[in-house]
Amino acid sequence: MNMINYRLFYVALIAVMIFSCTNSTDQQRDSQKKVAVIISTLNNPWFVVLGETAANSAKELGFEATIFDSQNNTSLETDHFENAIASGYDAILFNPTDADGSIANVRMAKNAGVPVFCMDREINATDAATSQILSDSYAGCVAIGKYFVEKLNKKGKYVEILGMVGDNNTWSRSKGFHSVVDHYTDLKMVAQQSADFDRNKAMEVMESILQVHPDINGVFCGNDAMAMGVYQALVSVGKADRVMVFGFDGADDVINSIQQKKMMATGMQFPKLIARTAANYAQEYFNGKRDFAQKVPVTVEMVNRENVNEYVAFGE
Amino acid sequence: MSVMKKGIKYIIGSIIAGIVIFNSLYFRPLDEKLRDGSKVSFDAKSFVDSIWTTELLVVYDSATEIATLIDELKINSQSTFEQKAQSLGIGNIGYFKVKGEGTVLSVNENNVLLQVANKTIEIETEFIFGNAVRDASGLIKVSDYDETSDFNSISESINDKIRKEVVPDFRAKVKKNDKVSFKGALELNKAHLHLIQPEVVPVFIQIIQ
Repeated sequence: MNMINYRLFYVALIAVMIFSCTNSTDQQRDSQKKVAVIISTLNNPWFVVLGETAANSAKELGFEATIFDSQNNTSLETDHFENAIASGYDAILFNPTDADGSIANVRMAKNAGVPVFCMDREINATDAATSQILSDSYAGCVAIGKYFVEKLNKKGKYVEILGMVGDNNTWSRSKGFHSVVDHYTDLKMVAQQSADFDRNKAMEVMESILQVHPDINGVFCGNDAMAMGVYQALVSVGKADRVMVFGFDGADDVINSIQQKKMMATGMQFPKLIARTAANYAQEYFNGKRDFAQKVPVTVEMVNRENVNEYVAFGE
Repeated sequence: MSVMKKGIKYIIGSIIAGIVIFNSLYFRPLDEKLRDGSKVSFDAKSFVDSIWTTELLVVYDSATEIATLIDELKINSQSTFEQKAQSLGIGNIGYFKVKGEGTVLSVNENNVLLQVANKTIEIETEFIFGNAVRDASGLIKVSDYDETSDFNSISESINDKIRKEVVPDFRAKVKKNDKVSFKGALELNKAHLHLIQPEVVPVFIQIIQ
C-alpha cells in the first residue's frame, strides 16, 4: 500500500514539474513583448539615431524590437503597419511620413488594439495615437529667427529652404522662424522652396536660386541635411564665407560646421530622448497605464557659435 | 443617317467627357498651396484679449521676486526648477514668472538694463518672441488644442499685444536712473544655466519715479 502511495506521489510530482516547466516557457514567450519601430526614412542620420535608439531602448526594457524603413513612402508605411499587426507586434514606436496620410495607418493599429507612440513628427488627429512625443520645432525656430535677425543686423536678402510640404514640422519650423523675421521689413525673402528635407535636392535647389539671386545674405533651412546641401552649393560658387547658413536638427556634421565657423546655428533636437521616452511609454502601457498625454512637447535648444562647445551632436 | 447619329453621339460624349475632366482637375500655384499650409482658423487674438486682464495678468501677480529667484537658483537650481518653473513637456527649458523693481542703468536699442538689488536684469523691448509669457503663466495647455499651430498662435498674439500695448509707452518715456516696476517671464535652461543678465519679457512695466 505504501509502495503504491509513493509511486502515486512521484508520478504526481513529475507531472506538476512538467506542467510548471511548460507553463513557465509559455509565460516567458508571452511576456517577451514585440515592439515595431517604423521610421519615415533611414536616409537621414537624424532618423537613424531616432530609430536605433528606440529599438535599443525597447530591447533594454526586455522587448523584441524590429526597425522598419518607410522610405518616405506612405504606402510602404501602410505595408509595415499591416505586417506589424499581422505578426503580432504589441506596440508601435512610430515616426510618420505624412501628418494627414499616416492617420489611417495609426487608426488601423488602434482598431487592432496595438498602441502607437508617435516620435518627433505629428499626425493631424488627436484620437488615434496613444501619445505623440514631439519636438517643439516652433519654439526652436523662434530662437533661430531671433539669432538670424541679430546676425544679419535686421537687413538683407535671404532664402528659406522648406522640408516636406506634407509634414507639420515643416510648417512649425517655418512659422516659428517667420514669427520673428517677418517683423523686420528690411529683411527680404527672395526665394522659398521645398527640398523635401533632402541634402542633394537642397544643393540643386540652392544652385538654381543662386543663379537668380547671387546677392543673398542668409539661408534658413528646415533641417540640417538641407543646410549641408545648401552649404555645399555655396562652396561651389565661392560664396560660403559671405552667406550665413542656419539649420535645424543638431546633426553631427552641422555641429562640426558651427564649431569650424562654417555655419551659424542649428536647433538641437533630442532624438535619443524622444526615442527613450517612447519606449518607456510602451512599457508603461504594457504595465496597464492608459492616461497618456496626447501631445508631449520636447524642447529644442539653439546651438550657435557662442555656445556650440556646450553641446554634442543629437543631444544626450 | 446612322453615320450622322454616330457623329452626334461622339460629339455629345466628348462634351460630357470634357465637362467631367474640366471639373475633376484644377491647378494651383505652389505659393498658394504654401500659404494654405500656414493658415490658422483659430482666433488667437480674441482669445488673448479675453484672458489678458482677467487671467493672464492675474497669475503674474504671484510672480517671484527676480533677485530672490536668482539667489535660489544659485543655491539649488534643481529644486528651484522643480518648485517654480513651468514647462510643457520634456527637456531642459523652464519658464518662470518674475517681478521686481529696479533702477535703469541704460536704455539700449533692443533692451533696457535695470539694476535690481545687486543683479543686472535685461528687460526685452525689441525681441519679444517665443513662448515665455504663455508657458510661464501655466494657464494654457498644448493638449487643449487639436492643432499645434493654434497653440503656437497664442504666443504670437500675446507677444504682439506686449509689443503694441506694453512696450511703446515705456520705451517712449524711459531714461537712465528712472525707477521701474515690472512683471514678466524668464526662460532658463537647467542644463546650461546662465544667470548673468537674465532676459525678462515684460507683461507689465511702469516708471514709478
